[in-house]
Amino acid sequence: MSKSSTILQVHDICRYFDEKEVIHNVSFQVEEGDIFGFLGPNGAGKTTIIRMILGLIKSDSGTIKINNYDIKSQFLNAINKVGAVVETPTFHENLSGYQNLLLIKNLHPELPKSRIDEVLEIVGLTSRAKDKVHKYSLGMKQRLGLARALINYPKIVFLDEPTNGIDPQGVVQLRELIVQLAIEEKITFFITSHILHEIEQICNKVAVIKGGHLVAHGYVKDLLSKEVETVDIVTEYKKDALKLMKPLDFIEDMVEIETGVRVSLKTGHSGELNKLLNNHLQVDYLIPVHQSLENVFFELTGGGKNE
Amino acid sequence: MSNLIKNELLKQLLGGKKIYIFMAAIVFFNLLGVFELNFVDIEYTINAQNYSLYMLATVVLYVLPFYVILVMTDMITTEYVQGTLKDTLLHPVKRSSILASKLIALFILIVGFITFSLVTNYIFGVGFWGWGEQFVYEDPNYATGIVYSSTEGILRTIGGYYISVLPLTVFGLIVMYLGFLFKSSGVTVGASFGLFIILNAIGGMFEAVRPYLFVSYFRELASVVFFEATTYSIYVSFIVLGIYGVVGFAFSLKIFNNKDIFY
Ligand SMILES: Nc1ncnc2c1ncn2[C@@H]1O[C@H](COP(=O)(O)OP(=O)(O)OP(=O)(O)O)[C@@H](O)[C@H]1O
Ligand SMILES: [Mg+2]
Repeated sequence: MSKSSTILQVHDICRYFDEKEVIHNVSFQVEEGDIFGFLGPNGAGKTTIIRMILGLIKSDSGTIKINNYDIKSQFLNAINKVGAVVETPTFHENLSGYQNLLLIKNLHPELPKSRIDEVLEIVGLTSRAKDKVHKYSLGMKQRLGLARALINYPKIVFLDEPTNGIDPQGVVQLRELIVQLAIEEKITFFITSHILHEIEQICNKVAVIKGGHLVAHGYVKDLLSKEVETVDIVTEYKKDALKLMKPLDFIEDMVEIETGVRVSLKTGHSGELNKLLNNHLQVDYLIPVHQSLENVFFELTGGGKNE
Repeated sequence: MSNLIKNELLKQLLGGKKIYIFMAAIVFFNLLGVFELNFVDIEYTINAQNYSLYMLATVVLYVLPFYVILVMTDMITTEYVQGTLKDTLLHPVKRSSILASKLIALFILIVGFITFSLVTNYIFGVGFWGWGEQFVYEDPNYATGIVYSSTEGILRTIGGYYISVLPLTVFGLIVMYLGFLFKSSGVTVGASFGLFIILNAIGGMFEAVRPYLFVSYFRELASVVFFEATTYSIYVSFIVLGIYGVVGFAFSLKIFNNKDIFY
């Protein structure tokens, strides 16, 4: 494989809505071949940033380049090899799935009509192509949206909460399809989600956004190998446990959970903690929490609540 | 660009029943004319040759302005709010081309309706009165009307029908601009309809301003250009319509280019 090159470059973008700064100096980049997870709780600014990248809403400052073309000054080139589903996909509901795709194919005169059948096949909608879209289920609309995003042989595809409205089985299929397209068609993916476990297996890189600030950005494996581990202390005496652990300098964070207290601590100190706790109060269990991206995400975004 | 126009026509032809409803409305009004003429005394002969011309004002004043309002509202406000305008904007097309193709598609649709109305009127004319001997034009200056040769009368009628497409298309540009101002299709329709009524009322009250209102030309442009009615200058007519058109397009483009697409 040739050496990776930057396909999306977001540099220092800001956006205000009614005097309120909703996106604060966000910068990141996506390399060709990445499956890039863009994570954040509701209202964090994921959709706003996608819309800014795609030129639908303007940034107040900063620059965005797709394929090295500036989205503002070289829009036609920048957008040419892009596919996108922004929020829930929208269609002309009184037209069929096929006709909706035809409308988009017409915007790329170089594409043959057979490309419509191809993308319908990819998402498994061939048999329903002639039905009007208002008869489609939400999951079918998501798939038709994906078909539409693929029609122009994009180099990068943006999917905004693609699992929204899809059943668990469908989510698995979608994940497999994304990986397959990434490998076979060499498509770079930019996927936003607030439901982490649905995409964490397939992303190689992630950025985490909270309240319009980028709080983490990098390879999934680097984020996971942080020097922190998480354990759940199962005990009835939550208050006492909290008080006891407060002065300990290897504790990074503590939150009360239903069964006790969840603590993040520097790796290698859990034995020490265990001894200390057992000497002072009754602890039922100490359960190490499997370190997944989800825990990192919760740490970074403070339990998923925005501000 | 031709593909964008094709898309707009496709959406209008396949995406709803509006076309058929308005075709039915045109048939209805044109039949109403037949019915009316059987009860009203007029000073000159009506036959297939001049019935189309007699009915032109009805179609361009009472039917097509509403079609223009509904289609342009569809093309701008409805598409924006339902999110499909965004879907077009995610592809390599200029916003100015999108606007131009919506306008051209509207123009083509109006030409279609004008043709449909013209043809149905000749059919109804022949059906109810027969072809007739001569073409009589009801000139407001002559109580009995003036006579043209059949060929000349028919050519002038055809010209009158198609020239009326121009002011209706200009109205489309005004509705286009209004369509960008509002986030509800109902409000765009209401505002456009209100504007149409108010301008007509102002024209009704103040004769002197009439040549400067685009709504006057729905009906009058045909007689200004093809029947030598001298009340409005032909130059003023085109300049006025041109200004409305250019300003309407420029304002629409400016608002569209600066618009953040939230849907
Ligand atoms: N048109 C607007 N006017 C004012 N504020 C807006 C507008 N659009 C978005 N916002 C604000 O910008 C912030 C980010 O919203 P955005 O939709 O980008 O979040 P998100 O991360 O996509 O959330 P979700 O997970 O719910 O989709 C929110 O605080 C929202 O209220
Ligand atoms: Mg969102």
